[in-house]
Amino acid sequence: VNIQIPGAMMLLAAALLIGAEMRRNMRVRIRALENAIALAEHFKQRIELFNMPLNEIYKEYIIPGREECLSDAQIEQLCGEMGEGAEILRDFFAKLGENYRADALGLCTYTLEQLRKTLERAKTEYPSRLKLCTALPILISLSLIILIL
Amino acid sequence: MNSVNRALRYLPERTANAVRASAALYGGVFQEIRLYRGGRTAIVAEGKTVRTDVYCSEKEFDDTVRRMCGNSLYAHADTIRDGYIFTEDGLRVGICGRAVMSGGSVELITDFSSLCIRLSSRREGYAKKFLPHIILGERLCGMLIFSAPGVGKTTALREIAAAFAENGCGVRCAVVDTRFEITNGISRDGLDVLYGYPRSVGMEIAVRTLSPQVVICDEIAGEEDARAVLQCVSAGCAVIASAHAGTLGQLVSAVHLRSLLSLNVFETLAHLTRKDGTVVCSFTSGGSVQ
Repeated sequence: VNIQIPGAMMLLAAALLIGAEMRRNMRVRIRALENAIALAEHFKQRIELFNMPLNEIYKEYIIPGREECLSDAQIEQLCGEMGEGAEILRDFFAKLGENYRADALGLCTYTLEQLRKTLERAKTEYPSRLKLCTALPILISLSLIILIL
Repeated sequence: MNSVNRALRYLPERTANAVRASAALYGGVFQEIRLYRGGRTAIVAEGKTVRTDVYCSEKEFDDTVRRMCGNSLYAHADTIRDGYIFTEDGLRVGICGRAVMSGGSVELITDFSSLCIRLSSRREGYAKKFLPHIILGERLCGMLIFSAPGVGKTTALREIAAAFAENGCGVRCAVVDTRFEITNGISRDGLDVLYGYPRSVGMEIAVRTLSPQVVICDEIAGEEDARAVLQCVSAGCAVIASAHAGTLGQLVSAVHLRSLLSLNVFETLAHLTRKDGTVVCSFTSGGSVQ
């Protein structure tokens, strides 16, 4: 009994931590999608208004919350945080420079549409997933505690 | 970094090595690098085209174009339509491909097939040959420099512009640098450079707003350019320009130049030819071809 009670407490604490981490990941994903949309919008605007080459756009853009200007490593990090939707952003950067203006702007519009849809989906799912992320680890841990006790 | 090293940075490694090896046969001095999609790379040295043994694969060629455009094809669409890419570090690269037409004009170029990297060079002291024909005491005289392609018209214009910039001749000089070639690699201190302007527009703006004594521009290529030259001369400016023509006869037969020559717009005609690998310059009075 002496070991069982602390064990049960630890299981519960772990469940709470896992739940918190899952909720944090969901928030990070939504923020990453918002940043990706802002990024694609910025690229579209710079190409549309100034026909600016990619390297110049990279130099002038800073992702919110970061200190250095945009780099391939930062884009890859953003893709990592986005989860679903990362391929949209990777394709965007892989193909953007290979196109003439009309196609480049078309690609920007398409990417923005896809990213907005993904963000909308993520935001719609957020409340239900939030409940799930809170309840599921606790329920699993409680089940384990019942089994142990 | 000189223009050769700048150019080699864009090429695939094995192509760059082949270019270096071929150039070594000419003391490392050459004027152009030519890349063909799926074909053998060549250099132009002493006016001759020398082909290397290295083939440029389609992927290598496409990657080279992408690097030259700074991975931003859309930003170079206008110059590609005019037949060249101007790289971030100042190289001018001629580009061939398939033209897509719209309403009778070229809308865009696709399926790129060959590249011609022209290496701009400085010939220190070269301007001394030309300046005595341009500055006659207090008077400034116009000059038309002509030659077959690749002999050195732009180099001559560059050195003349550099002389006006560096020597502090006290001459107000405007350079209409449509293709970013004339002022490439020279000091622009004391020069009014109209960068990337179409020639006729640039010359008009120079005359109207910069009060130049001399206007330098490259390749008078059509009626519109000829009219702009005439406008400059009428405003009291001396025009130093170039034109494509292998001989004086060919120069005179160019319709758009005929009116300029008949009006004696250029006091001096400078004919550049290549003999035994060196450029020879001969001068004729503009009035003699009327």
